[in-house]
Amino acid sequence: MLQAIVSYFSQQTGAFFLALAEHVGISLLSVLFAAGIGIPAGILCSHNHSLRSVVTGVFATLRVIPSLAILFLCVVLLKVTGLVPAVLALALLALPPLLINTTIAFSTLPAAVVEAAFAMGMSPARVFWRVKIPLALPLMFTGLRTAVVEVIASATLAAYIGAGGLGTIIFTGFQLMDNSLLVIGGASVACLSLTCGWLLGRLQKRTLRWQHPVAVKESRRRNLMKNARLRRAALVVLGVAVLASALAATGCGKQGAPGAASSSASAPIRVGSKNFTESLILGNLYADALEDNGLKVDRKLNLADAVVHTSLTNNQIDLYPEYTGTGLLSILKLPLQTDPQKVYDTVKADYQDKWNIVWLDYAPANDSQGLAVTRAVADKYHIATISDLQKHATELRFATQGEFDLRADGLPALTRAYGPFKWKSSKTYDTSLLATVMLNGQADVAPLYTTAGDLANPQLVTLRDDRQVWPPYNVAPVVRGDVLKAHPEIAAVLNAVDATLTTEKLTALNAKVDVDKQEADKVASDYYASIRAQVQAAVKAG
Amino acid sequence: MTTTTTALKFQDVSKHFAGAATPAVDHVSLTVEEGELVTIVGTSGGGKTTLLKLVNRLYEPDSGRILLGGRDVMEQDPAVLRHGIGYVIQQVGLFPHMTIAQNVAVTPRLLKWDRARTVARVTELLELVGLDPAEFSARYPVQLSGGQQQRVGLARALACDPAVMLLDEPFGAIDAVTRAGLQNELLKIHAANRRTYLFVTHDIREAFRLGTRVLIMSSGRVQQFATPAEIVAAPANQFVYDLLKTATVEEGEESLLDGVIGQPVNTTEMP
Ligand SMILES: Nc1ncnc2c1ncn2[C@@H]1O[C@H](COP(=O)(O)OP(=O)(O)OP(=O)(O)O)[C@@H](O)[C@H]1O
Ligand SMILES: [Mg+2]
Repeated sequence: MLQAIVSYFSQQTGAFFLALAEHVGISLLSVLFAAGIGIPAGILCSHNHSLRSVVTGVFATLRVIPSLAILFLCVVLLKVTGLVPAVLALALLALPPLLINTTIAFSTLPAAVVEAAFAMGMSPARVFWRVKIPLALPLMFTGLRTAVVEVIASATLAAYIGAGGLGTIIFTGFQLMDNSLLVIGGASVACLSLTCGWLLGRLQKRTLRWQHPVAVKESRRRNLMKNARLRRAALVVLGVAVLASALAATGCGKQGAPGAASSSASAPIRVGSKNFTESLILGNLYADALEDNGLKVDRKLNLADAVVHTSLTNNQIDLYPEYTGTGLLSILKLPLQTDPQKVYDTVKADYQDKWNIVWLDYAPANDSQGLAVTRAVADKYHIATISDLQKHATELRFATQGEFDLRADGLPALTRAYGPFKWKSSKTYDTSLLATVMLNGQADVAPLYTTAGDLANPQLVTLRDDRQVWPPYNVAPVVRGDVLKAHPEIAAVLNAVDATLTTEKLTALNAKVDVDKQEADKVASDYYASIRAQVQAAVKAG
Repeated sequence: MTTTTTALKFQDVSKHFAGAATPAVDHVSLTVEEGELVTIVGTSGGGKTTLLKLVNRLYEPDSGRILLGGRDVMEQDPAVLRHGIGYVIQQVGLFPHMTIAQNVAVTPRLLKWDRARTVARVTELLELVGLDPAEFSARYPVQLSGGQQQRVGLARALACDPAVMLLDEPFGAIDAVTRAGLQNELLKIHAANRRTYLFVTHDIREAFRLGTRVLIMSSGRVQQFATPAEIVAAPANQFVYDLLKTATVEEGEESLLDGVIGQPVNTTEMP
């Protein structure tokens, strides 16, 4: 465990500090946002009794709602993920202590002092800035400290909605069942929170010296303070150590030292996958193929989209199925290209340069954005391409999950290439219902991924993107360079598997899970059995 | 006879706080000449503090007018008005977040005095109220005793030599010996610049010793407003008579008032 932690810090220094910086950034933004609202609102509340009881009542209720719920609620209501809902949810969390403490501070100002200030001829503004604010500061500071400590702790959850921060380390550790990552993430958040609380405490003491001025017996008190400080520091270290060892003890037995390099010939190949049907099938399929060819395999499937790529670069997995379009647009953040071979060549070269990660051969299967129509409509209007569809749009009923109409690479991109789509009607459904809605005759057109299991149904037809608006999403294994060097046979095995995967085959496999409700690992092993001879022949020949 | 000018005039002033059964100040009319040191005594809750706060507009009268230097206070800018009025608040009310020196320097700063002049004045005032500037300047109010705080409050009010001083029990928390010294200091300061003082106290001996005239208040009304000698010679009513009686010590000892004005009170003649 300790060794795994040390190796993490020596290998992932950059990633760690990035997560730390993100964490501090999110927390700071949230607290500033909350302070900007909470402090003025608190001052207003201190002047108005009925407002005060309403506002404190609302926040007392709000505090009962778990922060995770608020986080997801923000995502649902704002329809975006990432920084904005994270900051909003955390600001909501930071608001009550700031607001309530400000209210109390301003409604318990010593009346005689404020009166004296006015009696001496200070203007109301001067009384506010020179007397009321300084006198309210101690309590406001206490509120700020509570807010900061709470926000830093809760910012961990921001990782769930893709806002980054130290939570990603914990999240990844959780996904990979890697205890050293859990300890690193948890301890970092605890340390950060305690450190910030302590720093604010110091700042409070310094700016508010008038409350406890250092008197004559200065040196004696200094010594006492030093001792207290030491004791507190020791307590923090002790706490972290206990936490770390407790976590280690609960999980150490199950895992060796994950996170450490596994390029030695004896270590198992760690096969990952994303957390949706197709990726799960492919992950299992790759693992089956490697095992069948004499390699030891460790399945680390079902990883969240947010962590799968960093798991590979951070040496927590060795390979997983990725899509060329995703590599190009989401990971490398390069401009859109539509030629499959060019896209593949670009990602292959860039991955090699950047991370020493190899794209093996891509499968013919393309899991791209797509539009599907019912067989009846395709026959009636002779629609085979999206251009054909555009001509008949006014006669057709569109079913959408909503997002497609708004995403830059959704309807807006189509409109730019093909012209406007003026549907006869347009209704929004949950993604999982779109195919059913069409099959029930309630809609004629809907956006579906091109390998969606539903498209295995002959009553639905995928339209050709004849103006090539959408990038190709060919699937291929991405493998760590060092692992491939230690086990060169991986390439031959997985290339042989990929060569069998056409869009139709993948669609059929997806349908077995999504429509027929079979288990992904079963579907994968059945499929492998069917291509086993083919793969072994190819491996021998290669 | 020296000619006198009117410093402060109350014309039929009343102040009734919302929810209170009786007015805090009830149709008060009185005139204070420039250079007077008026002491105010009376029952607790009798309206003394309210009367002072009406002068510097911390409270505004319901009816009647208060003229300061011939001008209605309600027609003046409150900040400017208050710059010319020193106020020693009953609850002391030092700024806890400022050092003693900064507390005393508040009004000089408001009036934009230069640094050197402010520092010199602060030093002078702290010495005047018996606090060693070297020891006390940099301290914060929490580091002072109640009596020491009251003295800082006095110094703070005196800082810019205001034309009118309102002192609300300024020596309430100070021991008898120090108090006598401070009373003498106050008399000296008053004699030196002949400003107009309104001085509220619960100590009748103090009121009679310091006041050029004594204002006796109860239930928001003026019971008697005259020189100490006149009051002792002819208490205006039962209330004043009773008040004087509380100031006489037990039988066998000298009456307090004897000591003050050298004339025994003939209580048997009272109604
Ligand atoms: N801000 C206020 N709001 C409402 N009522 C007030 C307020 N200030 C004073 N009063 C009331 O007005 C009356 C006079 O109060 P005031 O403070 O003038 O008395 P005082 O003579 O100074 O008493 P003490 O000797 O106890 O200081 C009291 O009944 C008091 O309760
Ligand atoms: Mg009073």
